[in-house]
Amino acid sequence: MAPTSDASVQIEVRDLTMAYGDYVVMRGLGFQIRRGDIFIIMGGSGCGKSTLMRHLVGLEEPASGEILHGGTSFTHAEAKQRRELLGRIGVMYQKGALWSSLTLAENIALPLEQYTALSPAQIRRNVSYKLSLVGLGGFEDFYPSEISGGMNKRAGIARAMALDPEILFLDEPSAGLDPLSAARLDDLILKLRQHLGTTFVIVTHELASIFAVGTDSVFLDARTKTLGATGNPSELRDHCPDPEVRRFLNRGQEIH
Amino acid sequence: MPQETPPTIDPRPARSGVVTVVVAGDWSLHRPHPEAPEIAELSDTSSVLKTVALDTSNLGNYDSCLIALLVELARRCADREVSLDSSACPEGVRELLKLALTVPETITRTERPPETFFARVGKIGLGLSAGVFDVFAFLGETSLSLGRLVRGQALFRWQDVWLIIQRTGAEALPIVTLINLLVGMIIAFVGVVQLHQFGASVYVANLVGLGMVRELGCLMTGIIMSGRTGAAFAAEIGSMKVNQEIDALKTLGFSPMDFLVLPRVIALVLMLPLLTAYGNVMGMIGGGLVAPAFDVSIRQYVDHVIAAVTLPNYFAGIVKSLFFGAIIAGAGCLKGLQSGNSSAAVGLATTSAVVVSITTIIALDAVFAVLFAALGL
Repeated sequence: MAPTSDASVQIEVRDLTMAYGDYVVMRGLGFQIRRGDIFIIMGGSGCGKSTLMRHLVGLEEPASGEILHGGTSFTHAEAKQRRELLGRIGVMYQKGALWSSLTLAENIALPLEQYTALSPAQIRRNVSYKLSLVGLGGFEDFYPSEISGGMNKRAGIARAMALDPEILFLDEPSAGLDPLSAARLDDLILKLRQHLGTTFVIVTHELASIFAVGTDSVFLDARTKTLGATGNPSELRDHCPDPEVRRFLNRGQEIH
Repeated sequence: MPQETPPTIDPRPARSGVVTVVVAGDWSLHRPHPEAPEIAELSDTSSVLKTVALDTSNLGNYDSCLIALLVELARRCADREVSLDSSACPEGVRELLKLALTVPETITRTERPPETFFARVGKIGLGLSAGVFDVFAFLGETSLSLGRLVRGQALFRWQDVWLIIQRTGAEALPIVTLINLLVGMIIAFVGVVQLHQFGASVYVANLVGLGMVRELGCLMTGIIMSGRTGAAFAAEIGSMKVNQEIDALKTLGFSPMDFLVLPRVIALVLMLPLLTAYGNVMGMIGGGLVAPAFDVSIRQYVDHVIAAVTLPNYFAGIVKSLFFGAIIAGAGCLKGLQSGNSSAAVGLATTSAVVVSITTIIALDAVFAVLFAALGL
């Protein structure tokens, strides 16, 4: 266990190299995610944003380097300790990834049944509450295939929130949503952070969302295969020394 | 409607070092059109070609086929350091040409050298050994998972077990009935015709009875269930993988081994012996339907079946089916979990699950045959 000096750091990445076999996706990544941040992982398509998220939640192992959750090494943790650390995070996958053989209510209830001692009635109440938070109240008994893609995503967020995680990972939450739904989702993220104190890690390249919610960010540069920049997205847009980052954040229009 | 003029593209030497390429007529994707001229053919011997100028004064209608051709011409010019002068072209052509030529090439497209024969053999070998390793890793993980089940620590839903039992057991009855009944009838037909010549028709009962309970009952039921249930397991788990549902299980702390594989293995190991026991009876009934046609009474047939099929014989088939059940469920789940992340990969996983389980079942049946013979069973 290597304690970090700063208690507000929730996730720390140290000199991380990500690779699939011989193919290096990114190398030399190092950054910190602080409590209460809405942390954006951005970059062009195919640069390894989702791969970075898969590393942060332990679905992929680092080729080298280390990931720390709350000051505890996640990379070198034993299986049991890792499960405990995982209990503090929730993940929403790109397409929602709801278990298709279960209804929305059962999807959200499953982790509650396994990890809490709540009675069935209490679980039902919690499930309804989580669904209504994402605007899906009344859809408890629908199967994932019976609702739209956007609704699947929101239900995915509800499931990720089932156990009130300290950190919520969202993979491309607003991709494929209409502008109004996307804006509602941004609003939901801000409210959840404000009222539940949840830290968010969001993989996205939707500029509107990035500026609406992001408080901190990393930009992954596909050409150099490493970190392009870190910092508040709005400041990066105006003041980042790297022209590539400014171009990305200005939709390719260089401002003078 | 104005008459369409056929598309033409002709080079004409203009001044020294300059060739004018005249593009004329109506260009459409839906009609044949000529190819762009080779740059090497354009330059005459007297002077070095410096510029290719486009003349489009007689150009009619055009669509993307003309632009594609001009892009190729521009690339050929660039390769030979000849400049392409498109200033005389209509604005639309110029803009589209510019757009196509300014798109950056893909940043890093690493050219892979063609694989040598030995590299390919090596890859196949490594793939095979990795496959064998995966099977043992899966066996180990399944054993660990069973250990957790015994200690009551496995995280899965018993509802799933009941549902899978219903799907693999009760719902498979019609096809198991049909196939085993037919197999019993076929064996009876083939056998009784031969036995009739020796006046030993009644022994068709022994043939069908022993044939079904020792070999055909468990084998046929196993093959049916490979195609029916093993394929379903692989397809279901494979599509869960494509849809990231497996990832979702992992990040919520559920082991896919416990949550997906265990219920399926439990269900099939329980159901396949029951289906086999049932299928055996169906086969013997099938034989009984044929026997009366060859002067063997139902009474005689039943008596002979009961005398021939002893309990050890009956259990030989049942014991085999326990193993077959584990193989079918295991192969289906393993192939599903190994599936790639595309719909084509799910298809491959399903195919491979069926092939592997049928092959393994039959190979294991051969092993059992040798084993039982050695043990004198």
